Amino acid sequence: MVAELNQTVAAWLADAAPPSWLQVVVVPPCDRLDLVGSWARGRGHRVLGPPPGPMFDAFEVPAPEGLEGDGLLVVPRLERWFLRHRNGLAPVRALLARLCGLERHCLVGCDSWAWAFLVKAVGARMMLPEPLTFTPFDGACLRRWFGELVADRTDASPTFRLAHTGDDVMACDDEGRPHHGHLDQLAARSLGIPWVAWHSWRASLRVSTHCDEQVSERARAAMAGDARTFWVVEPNDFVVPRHHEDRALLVLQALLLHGGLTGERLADVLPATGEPDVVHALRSAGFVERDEGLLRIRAAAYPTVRRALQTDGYPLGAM
Amino acid sequence: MAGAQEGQQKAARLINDLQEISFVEIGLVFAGTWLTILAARKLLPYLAERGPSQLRLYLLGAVPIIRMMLLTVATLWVVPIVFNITFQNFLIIAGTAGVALGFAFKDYASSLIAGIVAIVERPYRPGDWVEIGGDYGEVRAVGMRSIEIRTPSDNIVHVPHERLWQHNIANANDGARTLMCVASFYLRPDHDAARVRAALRDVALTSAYPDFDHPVRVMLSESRWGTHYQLKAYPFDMRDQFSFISNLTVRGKLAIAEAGAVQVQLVAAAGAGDGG
Repeated sequence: MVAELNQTVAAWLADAAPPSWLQVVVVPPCDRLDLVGSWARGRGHRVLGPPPGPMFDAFEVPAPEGLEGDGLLVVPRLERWFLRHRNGLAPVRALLARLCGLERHCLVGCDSWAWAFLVKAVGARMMLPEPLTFTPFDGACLRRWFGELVADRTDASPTFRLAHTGDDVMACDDEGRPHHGHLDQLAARSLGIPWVAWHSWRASLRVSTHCDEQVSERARAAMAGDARTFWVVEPNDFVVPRHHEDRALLVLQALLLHGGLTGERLADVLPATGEPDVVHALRSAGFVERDEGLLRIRAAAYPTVRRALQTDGYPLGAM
Repeated sequence: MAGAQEGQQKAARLINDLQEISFVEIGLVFAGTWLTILAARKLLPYLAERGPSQLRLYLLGAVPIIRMMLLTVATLWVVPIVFNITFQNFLIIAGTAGVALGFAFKDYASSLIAGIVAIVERPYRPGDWVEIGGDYGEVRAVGMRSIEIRTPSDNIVHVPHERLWQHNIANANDGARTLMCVASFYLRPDHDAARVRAALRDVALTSAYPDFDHPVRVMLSESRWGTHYQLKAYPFDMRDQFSFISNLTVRGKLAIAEAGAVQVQLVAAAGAGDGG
């Protein structure tokens, strides 16, 4: 993905008078690594961080200053520039208005859920150009990537077999195509998002044990020649807390929209209904994790969360 | 000659001979129809509540259509078994039925016919939010004679279809998945209206419930009670309409206070004199 970003931005950066000084990259949800920010810092570009918290409590805020200059300016996480709060749109409006007037290369990264919201709420598409996004990962991409990760970490190449059939999910046919469709299914279930696929993949792996009831006799027979075997099982599905589904979905949607929130800010963006807090239950059920003080949706749970929100008619992220 | 007479007698006979009538077949037709209607009435609403919200109204709306089709098929099936259908007999049956219904079951027949018209013209469908004669609520079921409305106070109101002939029917969503919600605020006139209007718009945009495929609008007008603001927006699911309005009201009051405006009191009688 970094190579894809480099390739996309290189020609535009080289142009001294581009058709648009702005580029927008929409990033899939649950991006814990801050893909655009890491890329920018790694190449020494100027990175514009989010505004301080009190900015979200004022109806009007001053425009960001000191943005003029040469070189590339990167706003890696546009989702950190707003809060779905009655006063929470002022910072992003001020930023977008300022960026529109800049005459320097500026790259804006934005989570796909936040982008869908900003397009409607502040008319982001009228101020920013048509966004770019990454090519979704398919089964072949996943196979190549997982293979590289394994090669980096172990000497003896392990075999990944489906627990119920014993099929080697990484095996290829004579033309180099994956022999089994498991990774294609995984890519589809993960909506082409690599980190979602990776977390789902990790959650589905089991170390070989002879007492494992999930491994069939047929599968055990197939592992005879393996140096080391990992069993691929169906990961446990996530279940929304019963009787509090409505509140749980509101929490999940708010977390996706902002790419993670503190507990206090989460309370600010949710309807004050007096209902019990469901965050603890969502953490116990595996939907939410706390990372660097922020509550976030776990990548492995994202497909389930998206499906639940879609079923209930919520507005979804746009890629 | 004898054959022709026999034919005339047979043609004049209104009802078939009892020996010719298959009561078992009639029973099976009625039982099958009743069971299928019952299954549709139970299964489709069950699926509608648990399936994707996009399909909900389609599933609910299919119930009365399926029932009407099944009843039509059953009637067309049974009538020739019981009656000796000729043009002459058709006129006799139609006339007799017309007189009987006209005198004895006028209102009932009127509701039945209005029910058929309602299925065709669709002034309301299951899942719609309607107001008929002052009763506002969700159409839970469309029966043969009446519809069942569940009000926000969880009362079930049965409204006969014949109200269709003489009363206005206000349908808030008309088959769509969403409907307009309005939160009203009355403010003392001495305030920055542009600031309040912008603040209220942001209140709707930053709510958890809006459907962004529909516009958010803030309308204001001067009334004898002060400046009347109406914040209008659509929730993504009409079942959230009361949560949405409450959310807009709670957050709207905070936004108004932050904008330096003051809500007027004594608004209880505002509805009567709004235009003044």
